[in-house]
Amino acid sequence: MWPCWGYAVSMDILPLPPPRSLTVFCAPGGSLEPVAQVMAELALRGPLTVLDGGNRFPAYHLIRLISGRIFDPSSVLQHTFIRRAFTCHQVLAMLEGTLTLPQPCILLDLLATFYDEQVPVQEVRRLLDGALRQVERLCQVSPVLVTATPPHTTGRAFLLEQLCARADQLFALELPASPPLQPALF
Amino acid sequence: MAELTGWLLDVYAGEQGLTIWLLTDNGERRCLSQTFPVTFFAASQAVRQGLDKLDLPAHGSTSDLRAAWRWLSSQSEPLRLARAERRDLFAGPIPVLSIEVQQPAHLPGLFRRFSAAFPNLTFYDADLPISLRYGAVFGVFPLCRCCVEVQGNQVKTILALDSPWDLDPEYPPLRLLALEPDCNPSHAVPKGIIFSYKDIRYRMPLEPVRALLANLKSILRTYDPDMLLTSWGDTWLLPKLLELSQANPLPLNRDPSALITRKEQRTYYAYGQVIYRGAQVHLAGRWHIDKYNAVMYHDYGLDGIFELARVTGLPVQTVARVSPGTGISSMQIMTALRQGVLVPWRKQQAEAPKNLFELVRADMGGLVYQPTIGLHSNVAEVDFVSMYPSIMSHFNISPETILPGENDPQTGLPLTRPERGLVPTTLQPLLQKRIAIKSQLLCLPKWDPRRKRYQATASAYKWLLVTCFGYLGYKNARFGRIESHEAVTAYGRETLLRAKEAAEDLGFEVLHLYVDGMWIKKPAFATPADFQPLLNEILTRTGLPIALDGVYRWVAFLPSRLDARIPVANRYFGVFQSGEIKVRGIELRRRDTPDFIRETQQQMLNILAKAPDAEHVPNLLPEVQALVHRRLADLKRGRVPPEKLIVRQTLSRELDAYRSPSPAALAARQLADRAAPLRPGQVVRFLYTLGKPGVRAWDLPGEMDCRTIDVARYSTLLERAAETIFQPFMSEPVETKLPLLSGLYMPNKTSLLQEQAAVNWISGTA
Repeated sequence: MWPCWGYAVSMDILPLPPPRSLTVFCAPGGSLEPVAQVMAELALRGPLTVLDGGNRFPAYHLIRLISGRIFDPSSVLQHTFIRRAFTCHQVLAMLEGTLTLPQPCILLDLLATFYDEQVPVQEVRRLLDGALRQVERLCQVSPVLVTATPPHTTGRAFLLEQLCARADQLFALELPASPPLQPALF
Repeated sequence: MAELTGWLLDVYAGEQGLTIWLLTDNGERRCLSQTFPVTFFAASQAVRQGLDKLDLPAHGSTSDLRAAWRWLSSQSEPLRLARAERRDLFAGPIPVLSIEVQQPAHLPGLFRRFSAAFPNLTFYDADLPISLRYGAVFGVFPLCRCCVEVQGNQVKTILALDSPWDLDPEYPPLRLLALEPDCNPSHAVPKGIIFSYKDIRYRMPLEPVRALLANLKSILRTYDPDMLLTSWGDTWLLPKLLELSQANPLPLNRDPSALITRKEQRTYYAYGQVIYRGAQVHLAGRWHIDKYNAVMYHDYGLDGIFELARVTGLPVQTVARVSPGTGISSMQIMTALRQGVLVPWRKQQAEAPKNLFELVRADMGGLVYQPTIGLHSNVAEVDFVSMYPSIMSHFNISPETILPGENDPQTGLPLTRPERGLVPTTLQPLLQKRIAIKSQLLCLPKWDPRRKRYQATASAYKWLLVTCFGYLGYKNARFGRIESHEAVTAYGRETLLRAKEAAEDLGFEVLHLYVDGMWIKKPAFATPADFQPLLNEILTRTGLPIALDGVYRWVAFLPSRLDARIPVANRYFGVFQSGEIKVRGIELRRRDTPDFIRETQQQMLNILAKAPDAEHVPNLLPEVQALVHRRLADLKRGRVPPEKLIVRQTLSRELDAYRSPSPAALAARQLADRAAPLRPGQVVRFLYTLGKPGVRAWDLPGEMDCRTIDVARYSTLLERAAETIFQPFMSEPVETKLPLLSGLYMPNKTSLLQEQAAVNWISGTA
């Protein structure tokens, strides 16, 4: 299920995406804490675009993070832009309609809608192909960070592999190993 | 040329154009046909999105359209191709390739191949139900009275003689054949089938098969029913009959040239729930409705289904099985077709960019003011009438009318375009008719035969109106848009705030606000007339109709179970002046509460409902407590039938996906091991039992040993349900009292003295 390359992130630290590159962050269960930290850092530095493909944007958490760093966050809130899409067709339309701007772009849970099994695999393959071409377009002038979760079933694991294959940097969040369980006496 | 008058029963694509079934005034069932070419459209995505002038690698270019034209010209189906201009709801007029298909039956196959060959094009009007297309062109709808000019069996003209918005339409005299197995097929293997038609009712054994089939064939030939109303017909009965009659087919279809349509079972996720829909069997020329696979049949019955068919334009068999969301979507499609607006195959509009500040302001739900915990007398509950649909209609909120990012500088509310939107246009007659029906229901005497149909209609409409708001934000809605969804809630919050201010200005105390309802009281105000000036004032200030739901003799707003200082929204019980009990958010309302617990809690409330006001409620507590003792004693002595202890829960996922299986999953596993697997969204019935695994699926074959029932667990459930009712009468937080309360419930410790002590303690006088 997991791609066999990339760095394992064992702490809640994710480096800022470098300019003109695609960074992919894979997190099982969609843990967004490291990404929220990156979002807050980028938002404090200047305009930021967030494209949400899985209804995962942590608005209030992000505001709390920003408020903890500066006294008046209103200007930061004004230049952090967000768009949401709820189907894979909308994700493609959203990416096509996003202008190439010299500001960081974060795509949250890009694959979530592509895992919808009501959309045929062939259609999903075509749409993701188009979406990744758009992501590459955005990468030409600005840093792009994409987050993704693994699919629930193996049937669509190829989508994550396809995304990871395009990444310049890949980070995967490792879940802490389960603590040893005390066997029940009775 | 002959003229026929009657009711339109069904329309579907046949071998030669359309097949139309008409029930004429003289009782004939006429099968007619009509030439009816259908058109769908293809457009370049780049043009539609306005991206053609940008330097973007957008696909679906105009050259794709030229290639599509060439491809279509080479197909075997007779087509008429043209370049045209049509209106996209969001992009306005756009150039499109118009593809007219001469035979409607050819459209699905052609479109499947076409969309696979040209996936980058945008398609419109490609997958619309034929009954909607027909209705949009001729103004007719299922079950409408109509006048048809025919030449032979060919329809030349058709004209509707009534409207879906008539309050008392004339319904056709239908012939109905009811079929049901002699037991629930998921519990046991049926041995026979019960037939009911006219005044006849009898049971035929499944064996010998030949006799059964001969009998059924004879009924279908001689009685020739318009509708088969079955129990488990989709999931067991009709598939079984089809299997048995393979060698000698039954004339289940009235139209011998058409095939029986079968649809697979499916599970899907909507409104936060996993929903299961069983397999379906649709007939041609007569309807098949399965009572157990029809959506909301228990709520509005056949009357509601017929009414939905009339207003949505969907065939009777279809509308019985689809969600209200599909119903409202069909109505919007009909409006779009009549207005010449293109209906997209796949919605592609993403949200317009917002900054974080705007997002946090916009992305909110309904307004809630937490209730004032405790018991209150003479409380009025006032509700806005279909608040969200009324807002959409009154403020013209529709996906295309919203101006993203533009707000009224004074109120902060989203601004809309002045042109009437597609969604308000669709909703307005529905709202008006529902209000008219509700008014009629208030006037009609209880014996009036129209009441049942009006109630069914009002209920069916309620579900359409409830879902129309959700559909604005639903990902798969054809005409949804998240900004319009947010606009509705913004107007809703403002409206409720204005209502609250009006109440406070008139001296009322506001006890609770919940999205579209308000609970208020004022000393010496106890009759409905006392509250009328407030309703008028709210109407003036908001522009939206509001109604008095009733005045409670007393109502109790309940606190959280975990912390008695924290109120919980929409969790209360109370008694109206009419004696009617209303409850929300307690065990009685939960679907997974066993009947035994539900009935006991209802009986407790029935006792309390005898109190004329809040002051007298504590006097009835000994009677309530005695009831609980009796019920607990019944439980412990095995006097409660096991079927009253059944817990019903819905499976939320595949069994293998449970990390730590819930009781429902454990019960479903037991069934799966006996080759009776359930799918997500299906309900599993089980009892709590002693030992491992702690549950027993109710539908397992074989007798159950009643001694294995986990009485202690059911006792706990009953005590919790009782505590909910006692909660408002306790002077201290519940959790500190639980051990004592549990002790008091022990039947063998009960005495009059203890009961009196309990009452004193509960009422705080001990």
